[in-house]
Amino acid sequence: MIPIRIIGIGSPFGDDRLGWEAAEAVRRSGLLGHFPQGLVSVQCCDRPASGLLMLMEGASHVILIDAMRSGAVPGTVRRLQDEEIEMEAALLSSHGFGVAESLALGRTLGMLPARLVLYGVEVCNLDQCDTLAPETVGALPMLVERIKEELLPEG
Amino acid sequence: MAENREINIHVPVLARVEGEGALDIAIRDGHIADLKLRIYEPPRLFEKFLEGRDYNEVPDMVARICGICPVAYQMSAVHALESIFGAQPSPWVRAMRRVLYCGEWMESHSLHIHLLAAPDFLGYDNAIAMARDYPDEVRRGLRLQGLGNAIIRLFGGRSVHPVGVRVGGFYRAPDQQDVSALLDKLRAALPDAEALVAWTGSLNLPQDDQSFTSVALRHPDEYPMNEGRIVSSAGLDILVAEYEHHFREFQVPHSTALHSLLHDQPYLVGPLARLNLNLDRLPEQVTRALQATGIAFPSRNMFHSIVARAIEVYYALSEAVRLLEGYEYPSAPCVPVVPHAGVGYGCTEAPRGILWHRYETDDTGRIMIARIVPPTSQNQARIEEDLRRSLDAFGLANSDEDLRRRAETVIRNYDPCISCATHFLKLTVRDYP
Repeated sequence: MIPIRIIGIGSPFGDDRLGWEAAEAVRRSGLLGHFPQGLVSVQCCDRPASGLLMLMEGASHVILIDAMRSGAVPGTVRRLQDEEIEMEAALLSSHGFGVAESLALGRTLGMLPARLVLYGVEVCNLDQCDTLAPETVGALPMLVERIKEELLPEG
Repeated sequence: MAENREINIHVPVLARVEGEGALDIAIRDGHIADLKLRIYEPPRLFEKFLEGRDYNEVPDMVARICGICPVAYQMSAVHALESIFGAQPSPWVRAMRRVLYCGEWMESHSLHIHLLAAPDFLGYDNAIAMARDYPDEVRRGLRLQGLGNAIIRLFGGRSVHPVGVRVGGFYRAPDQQDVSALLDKLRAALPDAEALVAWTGSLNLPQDDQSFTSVALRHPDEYPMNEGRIVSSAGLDILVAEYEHHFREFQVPHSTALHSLLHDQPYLVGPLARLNLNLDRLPEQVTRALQATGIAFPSRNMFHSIVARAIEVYYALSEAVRLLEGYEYPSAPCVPVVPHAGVGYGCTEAPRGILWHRYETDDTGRIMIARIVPPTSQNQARIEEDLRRSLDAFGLANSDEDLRRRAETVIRNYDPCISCATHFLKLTVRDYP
C-alpha cells in the first residue's frame, strides 16, 4: 500500500492523453527522489470508470490529473479538492460512468482517501492523433511545479 | 382518453449507456407510430485508419476503439491475422488469451450490473443513490470489477492499454510469483461471484417474453470466447469466414452506426444469447448457481440479461482460476509469424457479443482492407424491435415518465457501447464569494 498516489487519467485521443503525459512529466521531474521508496507512486489509467476507486484503495493522499473542458483558455490549470471535485464536475455525463460519478460513489461508500486533489488542465484538441496540442504541452511544466509544491510545501 | 392522446417521447441523451445516443418515440391513437434509437457519435473511421498499417500495429490500434473492451478488439484482430499467416498459437498462448478475456468479461459485466443496470430494478435514478442502501452489494461489484482489471494488468505491457497482445501471442509472459499472488485473490473471490448470481436472480425483474433469434459462437467443449462456429437459435451453424453470406449490414438515416440483419431479420448477440446457446458448456458449480436462481434458461425475457451477465462473471472467474492454477512460465510467449498476402477472418465473444473482423493483407503483411462489425451495431435493429414490443406490453397508457423509464431500462438490457472514444470531464465553472 503506497500512501501517496499520483494518477494520470486519459485516453489515447489527442489532448485526452494529457493525464498520461503529465504523469510521465512528474516521473521525469525527479520529484519521487525526494521521498523514501514506496511512499509515492505515479500511474496512468485509461478511462477507468469506477475502477478508479480500486486504484485509490488504501491511499491516504491522491492527486488525480485529468483533461478538462470548461470553456477556459487552453492550458489553464485548475485545482479542486475533495467535495469541490464532484460539485463542479458534471454528475451525469453521458459516458456511462465517469470520474465525477466514481468519486461521488466512493464518497457514499467511504472509499475515498483522506485527501483528494484533482488537477484539471483545459484542453482543446480532441482528434484521433497521438500528440498534445502546443497549448496543452505548455501547461505541463507549471502543472509539475504545482504538484511539487503540493507534496513538498517547505520547498 | 389516454388511448387517444398523442405522445412524443424524446430522450435527447441516454444516461447510463456507454456513448452518445438518443431515443425518439411517437405514439398516435394508442399505437407506436415511430420509434428511433438515434446514435449520433461521429462515425468511427478506424477501418480506414488501419489501411496501410503494418500487421504488428493492428492490436494496439484496435484496442483504442473501446475503452471498456479493448481486449475483444485485440483478440478478433490477432485471430484474423494469424489465420492469414497460418500461425498456430501454442497451448500456452491459447490458455492465456482466455484468461485475459475472462478479465475483460469480469470488468465489463461487473460495471454494467452494478452501476448501470441494477438501479433500474431497485428503483433508483443512479448507482450513487443505490449505493447508500446497498453498500455491500456495490462494494462487492467493485471488487469483482477490480479483479478483472488486475487480470488484464497482469498481461499488459503498459498500465493504460493492454498492449501486451501481439500477433502470435504476447510480448512477455507474467512472472510466476505475480500469477500466484493474483490467483490467491481470484480464489478468495469465488464466493462473491456466486453470491452475485443469487442477488441478480432475486431482483424483481419484469416478465416479458418475446421471440427473438440468439446468435453466438459455439465451441465443441468450452464456453465460447476466442474460437468456435457462429450458431443461432434458428439453426444457423457456419464458419466465421461465412459470416458475410448470412449477415447484412446497412445504413439507416437516423444512426451513424450500421444496422445488421441475419437473413433479413433482427437478432440478439451478447450474454443472454451466449448463455441461451451454450448452457451445456458451463462447469458444474456455475450450472448449480444458475439453477438455484429458479429462472429457466434458455430465456426469452431480455430482462434476464443481468442474470446472464452475473453467470458470466462467475464463469469467467472460475475459468481464470482453473487456467492459472496450471500456469507455467513458457519457453516463449509467442509463436513466430511470417506475413504474406491473403484474406482472414476473426470472430470472438466481446462482453457485448460477437465481434467480427476481416482483413486483407499484402505480401509484407500490410493491411489493405479492414472491416469491423461490433456487437452494438448488430443489436440495434433488435433493440428497436424490442422497444416496440415491450412498450406495447408495458401499456402505452402509462405516463410519459414511466414510458421513458421503461424504454431506457429496455435499452440498458443490451448494455449498448455506442462509443467511448473520449472521456472529457465536463466542468461548469461557478464563482464562489
